Amino acid sequence: MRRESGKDPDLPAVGRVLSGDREGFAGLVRKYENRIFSLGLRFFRNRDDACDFAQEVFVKVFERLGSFRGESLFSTWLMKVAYYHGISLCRSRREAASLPEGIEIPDTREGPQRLYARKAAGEALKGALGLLPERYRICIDLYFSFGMRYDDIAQATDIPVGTVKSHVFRAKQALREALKNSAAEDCGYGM
Amino acid sequence: MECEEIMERFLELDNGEGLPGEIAGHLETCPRCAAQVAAFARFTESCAAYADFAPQRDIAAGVMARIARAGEEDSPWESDLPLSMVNWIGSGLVLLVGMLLIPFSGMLQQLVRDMPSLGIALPIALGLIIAIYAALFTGSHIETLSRFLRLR
Ligand SMILES: [Zn+2]
Repeated sequence: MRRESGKDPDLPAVGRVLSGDREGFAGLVRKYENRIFSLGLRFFRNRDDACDFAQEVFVKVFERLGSFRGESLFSTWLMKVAYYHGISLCRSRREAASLPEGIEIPDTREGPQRLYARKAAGEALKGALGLLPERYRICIDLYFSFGMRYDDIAQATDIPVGTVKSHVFRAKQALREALKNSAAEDCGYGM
Repeated sequence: MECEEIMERFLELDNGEGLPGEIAGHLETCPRCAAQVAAFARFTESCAAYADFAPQRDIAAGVMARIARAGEEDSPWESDLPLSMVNWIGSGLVLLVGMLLIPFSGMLQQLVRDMPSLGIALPIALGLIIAIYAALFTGSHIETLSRFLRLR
C-alpha cells in the first residue's frame, strides 16, 4: 500500500475493533486479504495453503490487536505478523520470498502490450531477486511488489534499515540495466 | 556526468517520496533520463500486481467464523454474562462493604452468642464467597489480565 501521509488510515478501524466492534475487523480483513494472500504465495506454492495462511494471520492479528501500540502503521504491523508466521511455518522447508510462479496474474482485461510489459517486469524483478542472498530477497519484494518504504520493511522484517536501503539500491541498479532497452525504445536513443 | 549523478540520486529515493526539484528539472530537459525514470515507473506499477492476487475463498468470512468459535471456547462467561469491568468492580465493592458491616449487625451478634460455632463458620463462608467471586472475575477477564501482565 503506497502511503500518502504519516497518519495511519487504519487507526480508527482498529480502535473500533478494540472497543468491541468485532464485525469491524472483517473490513480490515477485506482491505488487506489480497496482500496477505499474495505474501502467502511466496511461502507456499499453492492457493489453498496461501488461503489457510492468510486466515491464520488475520486470526493472530485479531488476538494480538490489543498489543498494537501504533508505533508503526497497522499495515506494517500486519505484514510483520504475516512475515514471521510465514517464516515459522517454512523454516523447516526452505527460506521464502520468491515470486509466485504458475499463478494467473490478476486483471486479464489488460491488452497484450501491458501483459507483455508486466511479464517483462516480472522477469526483471526475478533477475534482481536472484542477485541477493535468499534472506534479503524479501526486502526487494516488499519494496517493489508491496510498495513498502525502507522504514516499514525494516520494521516488518527486523532487517536494519541501512541494509534494506543498500539491497534495494543494488537491485535498482540491476533493474536500471535490465530496463534500459525499454527506456531506449521510448526516447529513441541508444543508452 | 550529470545524468549519472541524477540517476543515482533517483535510485536512492524511497517509495512514495516525491521527485526533488533538481531531478524533476533535469528530467524536463533530458529525454534519456526521463525515459529511464518512466521505465522505472511502469516497472513498479507492474510489480504491484504481484501483491494483489485475489484469494479464491472468502477469507473474511472464514476469519470471522474462527474468531467467533475461539471466543466461545476461550471464555464461556463472556457471552453468558456480559458484565462490564465497572459492573464487576461495583458489585465487588458492594459485597465487600456488606461483609465489613456484618459485625455491626445486632441480630448477628445475638445469633453468635446463641450459637458459638457460627463465629468460626461465618468467616470461612465469607472467605469462600470472596474466593469464588475472585475466581469468576479472573476467569471471565483472563484475556484482559494476561494482556495487562504482558505489557508490564
Ligand atoms: Zn540526463
